[in-house]
Amino acid sequence: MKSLVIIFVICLSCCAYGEDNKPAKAIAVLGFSDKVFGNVTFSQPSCHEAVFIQIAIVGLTPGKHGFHVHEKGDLSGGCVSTGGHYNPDKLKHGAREDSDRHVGDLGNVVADQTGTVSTSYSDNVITLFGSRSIIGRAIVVHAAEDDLGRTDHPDSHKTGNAGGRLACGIIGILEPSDVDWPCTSGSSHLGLASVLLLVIAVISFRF
Amino acid sequence: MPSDIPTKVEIAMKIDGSQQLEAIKSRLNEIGIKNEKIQIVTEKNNKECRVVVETNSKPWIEIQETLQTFGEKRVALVGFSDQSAVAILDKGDDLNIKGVIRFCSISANKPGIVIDGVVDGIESPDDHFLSIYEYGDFSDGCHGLGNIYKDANYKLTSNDSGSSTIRSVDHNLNIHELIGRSVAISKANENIKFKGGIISRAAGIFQNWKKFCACDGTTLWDERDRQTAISGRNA
Ligand SMILES: [Cu+2]
Ligand SMILES: [Zn+2]
Repeated sequence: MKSLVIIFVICLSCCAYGEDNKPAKAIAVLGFSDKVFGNVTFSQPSCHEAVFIQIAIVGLTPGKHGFHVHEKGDLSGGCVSTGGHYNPDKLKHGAREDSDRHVGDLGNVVADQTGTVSTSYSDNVITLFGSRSIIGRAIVVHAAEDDLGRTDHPDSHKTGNAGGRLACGIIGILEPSDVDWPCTSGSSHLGLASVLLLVIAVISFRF
Repeated sequence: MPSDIPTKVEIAMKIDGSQQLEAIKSRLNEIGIKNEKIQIVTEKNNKECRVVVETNSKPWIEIQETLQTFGEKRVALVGFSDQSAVAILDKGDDLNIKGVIRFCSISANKPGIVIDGVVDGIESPDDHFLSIYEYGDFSDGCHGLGNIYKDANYKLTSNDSGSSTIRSVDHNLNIHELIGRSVAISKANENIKFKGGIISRAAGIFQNWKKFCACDGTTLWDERDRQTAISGRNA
C-alpha cells in the first residue's frame, strides 16, 4: 500500500507540471542527410515508467554509430545547431547503463552489413513528461562509434568522440493511443488523482 | 499590438577585424535600428562576432538580410528571445514553398507569444494561412498532424521581395504547450497542407555561443556549407 502511495506521489509530482493532454508517444524522422534515413519512436505508458524506444535506420556504414538526444531541436543551422548532448544535470558523458551519464546518452546503434539498424529497448532516464521531456529536442546519429566515456581521448567524457553528425531529426508528438493513461490526462483527472491519493493516504494511515 | 512587443535576435557573423563593427552598426541604423538596441560581442581575435538586436517591429529575416550584404555565407541566425521555439517548413510535397517560423514568449510568467516568420515560394500569400496542428508526426508527409490546435490560424502577408512574412501575437498560447506540435501552410477553404515542420526547442540569446563547435569539431560555418549543398541537390 505504501508503495502505491509513493507511486501516486511521483506520478503527481512529475505530471503536475505543464499542460493538459500530455503525450505518451513521440517520433523523430531522421533527415538532414542525403544518405541516412530512419524513424525513431518513443512510447511511455505513464510518467513513472520507462520509455520504450524503437529504432529503424537505413543508409549507415556497417558498425557502431553514436546515437544521442541533443539539447535543442533547432535545425535552422543543420544538425550542428541542436547543441550538445541533453545534459540537464551537468554529469559526465557515459553509456546508457551508467548512472553517471547525460540524459541524452543512448550509446550506439549497430548497423548490419547492409547499413540497416532495427532494434528496440527501454530506457528509464529519458522521459516524455514534464520540463525534462525530450520532446522538441533532436535525435542525432554520428559518423563514428561513441566510446561511452571509456577512452583517454580528451572528448571521451564530453561527447564520446563520436565524430560528425550524419543525420538528425526533431522529436515530435505522435498521436497518443486511445488508452487513457492515469498520468497523461488533463487537469480534471489530476484533481481526481489527488482525491484518490488523499483517500489512499487516509486508508493506509488507519491501518 | 505586434509593435509593442520587443524580441531579440542574435546573429553570428564572420568579420575581417574590429574595424567592421562600425559598418555593421550603420547598416542597422539605415533600417531604423538605433545604436542602443544593438549589442556586438567579438571573439576569435575579431574574426567572428555576435550581433544582438532588440526590435519591436522588424521581422528577424529583415535584420538577417541586412547583415547578409556583408556576405551571405558569413551570417547565421543563432538565437531568438529567451523562451523560444522554431519550426523549419521543409516537410511536404510542395517543392517551392520553404520557410522558417520563430516563436517567442512575451513574458516569462504570462501566456502570450510572438510568431515571427518568413515563407518563400507562395504565389498568392494573402489567401494562405499558417496553422498550428496537434501533433509533430511527419513520418507520412503531412498526414499525421491531427487537428488544428486551439484555433491557431495566422494570415500571411506578402512583402516586396516576393516572399511572405508573418508577425503575429497570440495571447492565448505559451511556448511550452507548442513544443513537439507542428505548423503547416494551407490555402483558405482548402484542406491541403503544402509544407510543414515540427515546433522545436530553439537556442536562446547567447546559449549557443560555444556549442556550435562542441560535439564533433564541425563548426557552424562548415555546417552551413553542407546544408547549402544538400538543399541545392534537392531543389
Ligand atoms: Cu550526439
Ligand atoms: Zn553524452
